[in-house]
Amino acid sequence: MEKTIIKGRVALSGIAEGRAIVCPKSITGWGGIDPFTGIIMEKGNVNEGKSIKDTILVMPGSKGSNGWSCYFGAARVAGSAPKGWLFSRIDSSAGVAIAIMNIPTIVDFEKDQAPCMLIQNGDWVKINGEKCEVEIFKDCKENIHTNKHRDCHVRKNS
Amino acid sequence: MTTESHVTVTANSLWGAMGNSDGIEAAFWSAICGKTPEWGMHVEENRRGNQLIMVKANVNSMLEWNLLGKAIGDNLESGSVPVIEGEFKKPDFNKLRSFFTALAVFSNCEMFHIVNYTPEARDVSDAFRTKVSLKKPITIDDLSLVESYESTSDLESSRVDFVSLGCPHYDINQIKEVALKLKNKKIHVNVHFMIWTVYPIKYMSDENGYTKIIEEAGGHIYTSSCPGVIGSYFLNTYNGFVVDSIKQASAIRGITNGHVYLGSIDQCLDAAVKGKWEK
Repeated sequence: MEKTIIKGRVALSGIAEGRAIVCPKSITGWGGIDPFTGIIMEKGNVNEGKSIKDTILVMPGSKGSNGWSCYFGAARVAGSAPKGWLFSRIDSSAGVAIAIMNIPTIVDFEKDQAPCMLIQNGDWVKINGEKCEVEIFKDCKENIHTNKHRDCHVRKNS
Repeated sequence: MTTESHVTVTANSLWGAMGNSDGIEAAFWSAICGKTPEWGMHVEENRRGNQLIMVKANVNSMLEWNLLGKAIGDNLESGSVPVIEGEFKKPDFNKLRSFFTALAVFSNCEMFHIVNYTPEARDVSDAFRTKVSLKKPITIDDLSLVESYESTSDLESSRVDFVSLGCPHYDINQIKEVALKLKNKKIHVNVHFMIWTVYPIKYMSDENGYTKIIEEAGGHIYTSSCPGVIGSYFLNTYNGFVVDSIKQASAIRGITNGHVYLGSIDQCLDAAVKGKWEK
């Protein structure tokens, strides 16, 4: 099993793992996701129609409205939140969204370790907030649509 | 602190304010605490330009400034502070805030420099605070604007029943312009025609008689919200949408399956009167 480890800065500590969904152009706030299902609705998004629910969501930063955090917060309330989050570089909207989501999140990777570049949809990703570390397993072929990722689990620091 | 997306870019870029996009929740946290974390655009070093944009497109109208905002936003790396140079006519405030609105929707840009125009960009080196741009320059040409348009607006003709103007909210001059153009005309009976603004502007419109002209034509002036904020329960009662804002066009396309058209004020009014968008 091919395993890659990258390191960043912990924005919200904890341990989480799940299948990656990678949005290299982020997801817009307004009309970007359906909070009830977690499905990405943004027209033209490479992952349009896929759900962020129970995934490890990977993106470069936020995109769009100052209400960006609200849409992800609504998904959390509706039970459609990702398990963990990776941002290449934190920004102010991402920072607020992380606080609202309260899920393990690592940010600010070196340029040659940009998660959007090294992680692909369907990879199994483990976030270890205690070590500032992300483990990427490339040989996971399960389709993220199939709900086979129910076995994802999260252990949060108390 | 602000909860309106384009206000962050506008205030930072034009007025030397020091603010971050943050989020609506953070605006409340800061209002309660009277404090906010000092980071991002509060820090002088982070306000420096780091991405040169060469504008080689014909940009003049409000619609073109809208499209430029998306074209640049789509091409920006996360965390960019763009600096634009080009042979374009300097935009007025309404075109600029329309541009910043589009930019804020399609990127996470919080600060923008226009060389020889915005106050922290008296020249290129002032904008970058160094002699050279740090990243490879991005060129925006007419084709970039066409791509922006085609990715947010339907192209074929169809019937429309929803026409909305005013994102960002219209000022009194824009309402006056619409009122004068609608004088002695009638909005199509099937069309819900709306202009969005804030209450003080609506009051001025009432006092000046513009509201009466617009209402006599069959239109409405609403305050302090917008179609995208009202959301799917409202939007899904319509089938054909016409807007003058790329932000609204993008949000409505995400929420509904109807036809969505982006146009100038004249194109929007024409569609409102005919009940149809024509190529």
